[in-house]
Amino acid sequence: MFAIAWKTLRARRAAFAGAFTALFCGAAVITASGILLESGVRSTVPPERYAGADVMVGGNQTLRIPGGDLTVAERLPERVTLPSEVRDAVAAVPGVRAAVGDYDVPVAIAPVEGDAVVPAAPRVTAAHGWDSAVLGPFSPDEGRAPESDSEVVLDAALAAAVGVSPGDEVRIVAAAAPAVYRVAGTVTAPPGAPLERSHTVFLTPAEAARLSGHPGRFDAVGVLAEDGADPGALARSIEDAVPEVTTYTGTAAGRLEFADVAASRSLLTLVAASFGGMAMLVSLFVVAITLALSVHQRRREFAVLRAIGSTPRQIRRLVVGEALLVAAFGGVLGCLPGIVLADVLRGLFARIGVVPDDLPLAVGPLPPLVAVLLVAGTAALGGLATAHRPARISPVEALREAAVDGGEPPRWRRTAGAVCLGAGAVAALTPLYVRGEVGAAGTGSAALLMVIGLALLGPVVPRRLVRLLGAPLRGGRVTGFLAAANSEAGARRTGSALVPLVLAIGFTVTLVYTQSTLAAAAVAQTREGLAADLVLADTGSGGVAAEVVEEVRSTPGVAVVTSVTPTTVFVPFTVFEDRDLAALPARGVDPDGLAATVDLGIADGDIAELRGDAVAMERSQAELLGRGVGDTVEMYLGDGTPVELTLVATYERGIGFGTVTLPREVLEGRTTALPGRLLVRTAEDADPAAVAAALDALGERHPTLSLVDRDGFASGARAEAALAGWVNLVGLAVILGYIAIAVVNTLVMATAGRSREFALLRLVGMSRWQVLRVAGWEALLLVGAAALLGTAVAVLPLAALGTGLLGVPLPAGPPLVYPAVVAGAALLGVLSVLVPTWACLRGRPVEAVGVRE
Amino acid sequence: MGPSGSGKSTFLHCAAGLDRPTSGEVWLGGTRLTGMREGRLTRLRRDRIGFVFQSYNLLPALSVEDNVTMPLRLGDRSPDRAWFERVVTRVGIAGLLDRRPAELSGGQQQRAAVARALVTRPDVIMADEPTGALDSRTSGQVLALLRDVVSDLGQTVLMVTHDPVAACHAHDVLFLADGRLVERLTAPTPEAVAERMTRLGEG
Ligand SMILES: Nc1ncnc2c1ncn2[C@@H]1O[C@H](COP(=O)(O)OP(=O)(O)O)[C@@H](O)[C@H]1O
Ligand SMILES: [Mg+2]
Repeated sequence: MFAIAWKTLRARRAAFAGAFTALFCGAAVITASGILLESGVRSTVPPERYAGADVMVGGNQTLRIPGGDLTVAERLPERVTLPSEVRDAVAAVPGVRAAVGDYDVPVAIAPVEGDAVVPAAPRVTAAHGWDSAVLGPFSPDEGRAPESDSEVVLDAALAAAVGVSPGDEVRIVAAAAPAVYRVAGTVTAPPGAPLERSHTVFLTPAEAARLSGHPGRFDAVGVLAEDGADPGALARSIEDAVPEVTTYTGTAAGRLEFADVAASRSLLTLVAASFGGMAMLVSLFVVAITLALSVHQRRREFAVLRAIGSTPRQIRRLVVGEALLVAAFGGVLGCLPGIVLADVLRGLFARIGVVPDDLPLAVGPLPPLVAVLLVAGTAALGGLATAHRPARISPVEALREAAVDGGEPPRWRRTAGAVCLGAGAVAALTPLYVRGEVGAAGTGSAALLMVIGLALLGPVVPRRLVRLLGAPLRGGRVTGFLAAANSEAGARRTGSALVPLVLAIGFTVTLVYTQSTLAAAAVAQTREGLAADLVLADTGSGGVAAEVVEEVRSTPGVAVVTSVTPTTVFVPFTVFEDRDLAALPARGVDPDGLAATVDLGIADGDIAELRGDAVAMERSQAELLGRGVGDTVEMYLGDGTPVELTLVATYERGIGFGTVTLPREVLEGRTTALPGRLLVRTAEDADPAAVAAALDALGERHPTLSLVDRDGFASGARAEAALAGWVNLVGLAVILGYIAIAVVNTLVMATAGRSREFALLRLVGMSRWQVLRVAGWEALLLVGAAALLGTAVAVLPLAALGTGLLGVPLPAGPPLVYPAVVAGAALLGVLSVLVPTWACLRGRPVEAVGVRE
Repeated sequence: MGPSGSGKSTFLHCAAGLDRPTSGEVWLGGTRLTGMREGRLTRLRRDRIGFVFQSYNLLPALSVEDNVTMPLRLGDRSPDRAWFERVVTRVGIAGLLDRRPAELSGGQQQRAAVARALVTRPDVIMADEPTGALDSRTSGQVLALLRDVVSDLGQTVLMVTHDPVAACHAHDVLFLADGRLVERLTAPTPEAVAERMTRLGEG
């Protein structure tokens, strides 16, 4: 059978072009998401400050929970620090010559007078203890080592950028608090590490420990090996001896050194998981449709095979064999553009700013391999499913049926279709129960499920719809009448061509408006919920220290200051006996006078109780977890510290202010997270302008603090929401591109399969122009039906999303997107019909009719 | 033979195991076809029956040779080279083996279809109006071929035809009307066949 499949394939390249295109693009998309995933896991940039360490040791940044299986693992966004005992334990491992505890303190640097020197991203400035200079190793350039706590050594490039040399003074701002240091010396970059991403400031170890805010707990431990020790083996024995650490050797140390590299790791994994999952579903679906169409077009061939003695099994093997052959070609060839696609995506993410520009892709053999296997698996499954029909029916029936386009789909398909529609409707309603990004993620799957349901239902729906839409055309004399009759009679063909168009319209509309609705909800909630008059934000010094918060608080005319620490918490939950973790965006806040700066929209409980081991949570999230006010919620903080907190209030504005709100004291002393923003409420009797001026003056003394008003804060929220939207839309663009290709593909396939029919029309006396008009009318009917179904598919998810997030059953966003999507899909659809029709009509009709099917 | 719509094709299809009657049983020689599973039935049909359709039904993607040997391939049998040569020479398509069906005339396509039916050495060849789509000269050639297959190769042929002259080549003629076998004529003459056909057409 394989030989026959191969021969058929070679003889009828055109007939398989459609399936090939679908598989080729599917492999490309799956490869691309695989590469992003692998890059998330493996990719790194070369270390700079740690370039000379043989092994770098960091805390375990992966959170696992007891009872959770292998897939239940979350990357901790905050650094897990290492107590000095861990350094001592590492130092005791045989083969370790020295273990150096390193503090890594984000700082900003400024001349004594003037603004902070903010280096261009991805460059960061960080302070370290002088004892860690051996990890570079940094060698002295001018001057000497820092001898007192008020002395500092800068790397030569930084000294030049600030314009200081040994003997001069500089200001170093850590956690928004500036202090003046004398430059004791400068150092040159480590050999082989040109310091392209970092500026380094060396303080005495004691001063570095003090600035870090967690003296006695290191950010990392650098290991220098004894002569001749193999770093890889040493790393393994360190991990064996000290189980709570993770080791990094070679370039991997860049992942420990650079926070942005570590962060892009979670982002890439996340994007790859959501985009990759969706892309995979869509491509599997498209491949299945395309295969079904090609089998349907060749039904006569299969009927003949049945008649001359093929068993149903042989037909199945033939169809699957052909599909596998096409999949092998398409899959293997598709991997190459997949690599290019991954690189384009990486570039886009870098441009948006969520991934460092210099982070390379990690291209291993695994993603293409997985893509080829997945595509082949889909092809085999799709082939099996579509071969069912030609394999089962009796040969005579097959030959008879081959002539007409009739036949209802089998019962199981209708049942499965109804189930999919139902599941889609349920998924569409999730935003009503989970009001947040997680719930919003359900809308895309809902639309997809409903389209799959429609596809499974087969020609039933398209036939009715086309009959309805075609009714006015039936009155036409020739072309309109013929078009209506053709569309209805060829309902199965119409159905196959319709599905990708419906997917294109329904999916695009749903996903675009989901993003804009989320953004609108974030902006609206921020605007409504922000009761503060002014907002102070830190840029570049790692946060705002408690004493700076106090300083702001004591500014005349300031009534309340709420510091806001952005973080993430992880809440374990159980579904169907399985333990899993939910990562929830959280904010640590000062509870005193919270109601004066933030109106969270309290649903239940009292936010004034948010003290001690307490927590407040967005209402739907609390309901989802099955917790009410007064219940205990166990969770893990951003660095994996487990806590048990009492739920004291639930609130509505979770998108604007985070799903979880914690009192600052829960974080303090447990994690390294610092407040990034201060919300300031002026006193009733104070002059707002005077307060603003006073805070502006405070900003002079604290060069990393900047003051914005309420509108500035809201537009900041909008920019943040837009950023998240862009990240999602980049992934979606690829999926949508794939769907567009699928639309063109199926329509061209379906149209090209009708060359004989067109030739017959010419033979009975129609002009080319008239045939083209018939095809045009048919295309319009198709596009009209697709627009209706696509809209229908989008209506429920978006209405539920609007109700859940905005309180009205309408999505928010640019109204023009909808007509633009419909018009774009219509244009694509009509062109994909008319161009191949025109190509069919070019030859002489007699020849076209003469060609056997 | 029988008037249009009298059930000739249906009878042939049922006898060949291509179709299943709503009631009654089908026996092929000593084998009961009714109730047989699809896979076994197909294999039996492949081995013991050759079918020639009115509309040739060659596979467009395959060469003439591949089309002819297809039933052997399906049965996982290696072609008996000598028999294959003899069949294609006898049928007169030896020079066309590399062509695709679309490159052949109707008569040549039907000859290839006859070769395909012969190649498995079936117990019987069933032909449903094999000349229905051919002009009179070509159909004469195909009918002569089928007749020769009987005399030269000792092959049994069961054929549905309209042509009383063609029918006279047969040893026996059966007449169908309204789905029933109504008459049998041994050693027919054109006049006798034509006369009965007229009678059945009226009734
Ligand atoms: N024995 C029968 N009992 C009932 N219906 C029959 C019988 N034989 C044939 N038919 C029906 O008669 C119609 C014509 O039969 P067909 O075999 O195509 O006729 P022919 O080939 O002689 O023109 C078909 O719809 C078939 O189902
Ligand atoms: Mg007939």
